[in-house]
Amino acid sequence: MRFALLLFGLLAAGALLPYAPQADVHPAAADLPASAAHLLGTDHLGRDVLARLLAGSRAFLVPGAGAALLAGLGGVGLGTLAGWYGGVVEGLVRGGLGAITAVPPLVLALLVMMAVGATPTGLALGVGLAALPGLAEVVADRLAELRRAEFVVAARALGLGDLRILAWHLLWVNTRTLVGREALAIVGQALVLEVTLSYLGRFGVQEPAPSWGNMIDHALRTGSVNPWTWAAPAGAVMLAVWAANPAGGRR
Amino acid sequence: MRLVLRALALRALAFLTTTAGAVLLVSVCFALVPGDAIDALPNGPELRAQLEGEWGLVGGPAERVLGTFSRAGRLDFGHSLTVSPGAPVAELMGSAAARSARLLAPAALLSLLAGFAGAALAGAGAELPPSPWRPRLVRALASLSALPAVLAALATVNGVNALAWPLIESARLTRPVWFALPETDHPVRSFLAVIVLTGASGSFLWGVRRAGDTLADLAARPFVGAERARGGPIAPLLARHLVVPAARMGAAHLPLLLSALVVVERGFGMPGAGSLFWESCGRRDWPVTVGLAVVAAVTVTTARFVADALAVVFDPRERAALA
Repeated sequence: MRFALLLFGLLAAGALLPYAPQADVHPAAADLPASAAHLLGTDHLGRDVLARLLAGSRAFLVPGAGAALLAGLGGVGLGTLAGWYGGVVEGLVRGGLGAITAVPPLVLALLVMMAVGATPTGLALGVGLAALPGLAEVVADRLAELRRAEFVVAARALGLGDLRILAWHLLWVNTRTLVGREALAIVGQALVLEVTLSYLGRFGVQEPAPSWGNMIDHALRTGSVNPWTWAAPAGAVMLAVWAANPAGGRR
Repeated sequence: MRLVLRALALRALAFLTTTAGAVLLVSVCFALVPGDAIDALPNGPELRAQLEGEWGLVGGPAERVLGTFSRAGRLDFGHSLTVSPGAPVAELMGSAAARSARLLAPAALLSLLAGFAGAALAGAGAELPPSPWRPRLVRALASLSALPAVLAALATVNGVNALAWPLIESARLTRPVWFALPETDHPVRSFLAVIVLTGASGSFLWGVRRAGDTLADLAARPFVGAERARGGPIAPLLARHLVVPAARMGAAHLPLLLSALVVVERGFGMPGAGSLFWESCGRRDWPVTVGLAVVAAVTVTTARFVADALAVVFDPRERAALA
């Protein structure tokens, strides 16, 4: 919930600010401290730090949403197959997921980004593929636990078909909260990866487009005297990761 | 005995298929990468025919997948193209992996210890008397550990230097050799890197949760209840039965540690497998990239196999489940 509120706040505030995060370059107003006109001051090129901070959230929100969608669709599909059918199908699905999780997540995300390109789509595919096994296993475990529950037996006795029991009673009623939490955690993972790639360079968002990672990197490299240039994005990352972690329940 | 051997054979089969699946995944990613590193070489056009043949860069994606897969199966990773042109990849990976192992091994051990200590402090296993502040302390530390490894490394390096600089400037401290991290190779740097690797990116949080579940599961077993009823000490009993769960936790944590290793080695400017992987990705040195990705995947599947084999040998429930 707090993560959803944070995301909504970021998007809403971004739309209300009067500054363009990329175009408003004013070298004469470089490194201004926080004031009423610039709530977090300006960076080394005179750009409003708050405007860039809010615009920078899009660098992980859009790929994060894409990754959550990919992992959600794939994970729920594969998890349902494994959890509902069990036996050989479960063995095959879990074996396949085990092969994906054997490749470290950052390594897999980088390989995917090299194949697709260091773009938001590449980031979404990389994070989505790396997060898919975790979500699939959560769904599979849940369905394996529920498929022999008394209410499922009762529903069958009342003449309900497998598809309805699976889609409504098991997935929608009993699993959707779990999947929602996992999806939020995946957005958090996209943020961490985006910050990592942008800070380490090469594969991240490139200037002048803002991202929290490249804001920290540039602030430290240019030695800006306005501490908000690095403290604001670093604090935002910590807040967002903190908000996403307890909600998601996994790293 | 036959049951143990049968269980081990099944685990070995699962290990082989999972490893093959992971190598196939890496091969598919590699086959889909557009362009190649030959263009980045100064004498690329002259070497293209030779290198294309050597590295299977000719042909369609299916051919490239099969080529990479079969080379990885033979552990023939060829020669580096751009990171260290002409050097055998196996040699490069060997020396880098040896340096990384010095970070990875203590970090893996420390992660396990910190996880179990945190879980025990928070009250899992119910060995300590209830306390209102201990769970809060562990929760606070766990939340702090959610900080991404890249920021933790950045904060550590800049923090150490920022703290030392005023002391050096005021002549209260002679410039220590570890100053100006990350450029200096010093045990202080390795120690800080191990701490960041152990705690950051949610490692501690993950460890406490997994260890908490493990301790709670163990504490609920009948033999622990019986020992408790007899008034015997529970801690040694729990410790004895933690070997297999700890091995499984370590194996499950390994992919996350390997990911964080790339970031920590870059953040602290340390040479190693993680740094080499990042460098090879940036310079499109596919043989090194593929080699390191395959070795990382094989390391993870091997760790899982070892943990599973320990479980088969030491945990009678595993054998009973098979029987």
